[in-house]
Amino acid sequence: MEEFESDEEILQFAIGRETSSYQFYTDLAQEMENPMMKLLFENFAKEELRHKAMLELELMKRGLVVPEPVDTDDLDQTDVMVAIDPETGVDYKNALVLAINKEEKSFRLYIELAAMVKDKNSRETLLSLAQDEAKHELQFEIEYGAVTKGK
Amino acid sequence: MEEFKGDEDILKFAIEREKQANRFYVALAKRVADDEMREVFEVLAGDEVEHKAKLELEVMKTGRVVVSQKDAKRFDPYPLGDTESMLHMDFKSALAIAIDKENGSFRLYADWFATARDEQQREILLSLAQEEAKHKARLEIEYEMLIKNQ
Repeated sequence: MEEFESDEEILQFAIGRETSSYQFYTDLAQEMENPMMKLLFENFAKEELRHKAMLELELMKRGLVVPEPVDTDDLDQTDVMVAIDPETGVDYKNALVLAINKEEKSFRLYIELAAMVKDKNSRETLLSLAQDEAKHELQFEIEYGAVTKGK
Repeated sequence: MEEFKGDEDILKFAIEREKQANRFYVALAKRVADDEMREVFEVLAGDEVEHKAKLELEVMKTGRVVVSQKDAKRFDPYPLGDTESMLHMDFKSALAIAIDKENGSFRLYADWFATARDEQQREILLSLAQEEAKHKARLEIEYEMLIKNQ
């Protein structure tokens, strides 16, 4: 787990994470040919943008300017992100598995960040985001169950 | 979490809380007419039993015997409320109460995680927090569907 020196650093890290998640779902949406499947991932991409806005608000409450997006490639995220293979692409079922794994890791990350942050309001925001990610994971699991049951 | 006198105290408290949650879902499952909904509550009731077993294992790892903490409510930062009276509510209200209960349980484990130092224990708390968060999400989905169909 990354070492942080302040609450601001934690929030900035989380903002970078949400930016990556937004990109992840946007990429998955682009991989889908079926409009309903595309829409599902587009909606989740929007959710991650909403999370990013919540985190940015926490920074703004402190009188800080929202920074340029963190280059998440510079962060140690090997345990929190999953990647789409650009060569082979991804089918819907595998996309759902990737999404489930991603949401599980996001949940863990937010619980860990909430344990580190000192400000009560920021902690509340991070815990609320953790719950959102758990809900996303469940929604993907339900969808995965429906897809595999139908086959 | 300063109300607790160490991990053992928290463990006993959490075990009692899981028992209450199990009783709540078992009673709710008996009340509902819809088969699918009954199954949801039965699964949730079963999950709470599994949570209790995980916590009891943690107690046993310390070489202690698992005993009930009857005065658990005294310490509760996220009270579960009076389960008996909740069961006489209409279904929508019962669902709303269940969502609150799961939120409280999630917060309890997340708070505890923040103070726990033992790596294995942290993993268990994280997994319990996640399951409670998913229970809450499951109930929210049912609640939203109920509102939509009204």
